[in-house]
Amino acid sequence: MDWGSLFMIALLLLLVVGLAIHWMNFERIYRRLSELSSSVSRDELYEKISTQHGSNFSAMASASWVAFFVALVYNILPPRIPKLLSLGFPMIASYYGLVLFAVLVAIVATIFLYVSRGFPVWLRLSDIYSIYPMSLNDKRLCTLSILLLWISSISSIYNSISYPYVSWMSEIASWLLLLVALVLLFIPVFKEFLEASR
Amino acid sequence: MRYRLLALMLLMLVISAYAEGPTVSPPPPTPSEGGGGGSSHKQTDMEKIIKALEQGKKQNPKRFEYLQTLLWKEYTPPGEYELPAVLIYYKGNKTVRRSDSLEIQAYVTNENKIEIRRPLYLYLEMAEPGGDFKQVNSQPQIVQVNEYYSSDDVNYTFRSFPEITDLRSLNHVGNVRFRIRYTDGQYKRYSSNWTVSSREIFPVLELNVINNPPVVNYTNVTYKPRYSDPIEYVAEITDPDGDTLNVTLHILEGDNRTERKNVTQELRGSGTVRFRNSEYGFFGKDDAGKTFHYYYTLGDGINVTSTNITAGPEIRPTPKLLVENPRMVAEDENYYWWGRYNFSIDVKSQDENSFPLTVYLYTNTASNPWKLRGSKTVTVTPERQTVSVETSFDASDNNQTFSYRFSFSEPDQNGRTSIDLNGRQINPRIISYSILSPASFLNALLILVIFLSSGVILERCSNRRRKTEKGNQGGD
Repeated sequence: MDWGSLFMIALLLLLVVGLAIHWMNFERIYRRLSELSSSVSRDELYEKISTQHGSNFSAMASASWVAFFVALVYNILPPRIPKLLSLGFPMIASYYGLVLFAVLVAIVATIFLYVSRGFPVWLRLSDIYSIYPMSLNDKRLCTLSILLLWISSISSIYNSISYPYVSWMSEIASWLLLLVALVLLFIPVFKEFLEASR
Repeated sequence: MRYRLLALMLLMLVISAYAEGPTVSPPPPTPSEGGGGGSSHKQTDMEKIIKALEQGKKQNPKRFEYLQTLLWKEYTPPGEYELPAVLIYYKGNKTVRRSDSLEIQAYVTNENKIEIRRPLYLYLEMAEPGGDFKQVNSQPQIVQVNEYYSSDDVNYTFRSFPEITDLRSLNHVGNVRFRIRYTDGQYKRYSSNWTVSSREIFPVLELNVINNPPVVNYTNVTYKPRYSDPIEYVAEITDPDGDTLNVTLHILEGDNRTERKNVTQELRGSGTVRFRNSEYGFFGKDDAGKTFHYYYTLGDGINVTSTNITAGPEIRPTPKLLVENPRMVAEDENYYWWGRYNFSIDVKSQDENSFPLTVYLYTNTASNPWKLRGSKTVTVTPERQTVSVETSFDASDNNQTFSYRFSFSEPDQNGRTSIDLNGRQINPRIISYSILSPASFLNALLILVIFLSSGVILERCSNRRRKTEKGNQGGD
């Protein structure tokens, strides 16, 4: 198993753990409220406890999640470029082929995140922050993830440009940055979980 | 027949009386003979008559025959039997082409009552131009006694002759005559025995048969092929009469008089005929540089028509092309697919003549087999010159070994029209710019813009959705 696959597994694991903790946080609140009143549904509770953290932060959080998906696809792209060429996607080799590829992935990710707002409350990726109180520092950390994901993307682009002469350092750095960015995106979730555990 | 027998019986009675001498009265019947005596006497007389006849026939056959002739009586039908009239009924134009459809019918009128009518047997006869009448239908058309229509006291009927639908089988054109021969089993007549004046009914039908010559439309063979090129004479031929045509191509030498070769193809009606050099071998290596002429003749069985003499083809002289040193030089020693590759070849004429030459370059990889990359046309002179085609490969050709081919419009000193050579492996790199290039920086910058734009768009859409949902809840 190569580096890429290991990091991919770790990344997916972290994503699942983050979502599971988010679900546990929400369920804990729901259980407590159910002791007081049994007539409140999860969606109603979600609506009631949602707080807006400002449009700027919401836009940055959404951008971070889009960037996460783009960076993830970029990380797994380099060895697949020949396959894309043979599948009739020769523009990937053109001057702005990588950007056009990012546009395609970003459109798909944006649509997915928008549609995910209709999913169960704990699966609404770009909307998970609305049930947590967030300090300015938390917001900065979340916003920082965009920068990390951008650097991860650049690192992947470097490998794509150099393909098939891929730099393993660049590849590992790209995956590590992706992992750290995901951790930062789940900071409010982990923080709430730790505080509740005390 | 019945009347003949009756006459014979009478004759027999006379002979019988003559043969037996004086009549002897028959004896009265005895009781033992009973009431059947009269019948027995008649039978005896009859036997005597028969015997006398047999004897007379043997002893004096001539007299017997004379007696027969003497007693022969012609049959006369009951009532006033009138021989029916049969004429030709024809509605078409009297000037016809051989291929025109023809419908000739017999018009039969019969004034006899049904009791005395007889079946009629009709035969259509045709006389070709300058010829005698010949029967057309092998089987007669029969009109039975009850097959007439009645109108205004006229009994009439029609009969068609399906054997004749057109006049394609005619070997000559001109006046063709038709008449009908008919018989009722006893009398034989012709339609020409009657006189009638009508626009559609004729005792003898005369048709003026004309022939339409075939029309030919052919493509000029005026281009300048090599003798080994696929030279083809094509002619589109239409014959209005639909005859079977003999299409002959005549190829004349350059003097426009001597016939080099003629070949014939058969064509039914209309269609396209093709005479290929590869099939008939009109031209050979020695004909290079010569000019030929040609014309077609078309025979439709009646006439032979010919087209104008047309020039063609002018066979190109075989040039003396010398090809040397085919090569490929890559701009970059890394052999990237996007790199420029110069494919070149040296050419010159082996004699004083100059001629045009087109050189085509093809490259071959697993992804793009034998792809035409470019061509160049030059005038080859006795001076050596280099023909170059510059090209690059496709992104999908990366990491593949290529080969290349020079193809020429003229055969070289070895009679070849192409040369295949092996190239090298193309570098596996796919993206043509480096990480430090402006394109790379711009890519990185644009990606950040995409991230932020997506976030803003998503936020705007979510915010609008949220407001709409709240508005709906407030309304509720």
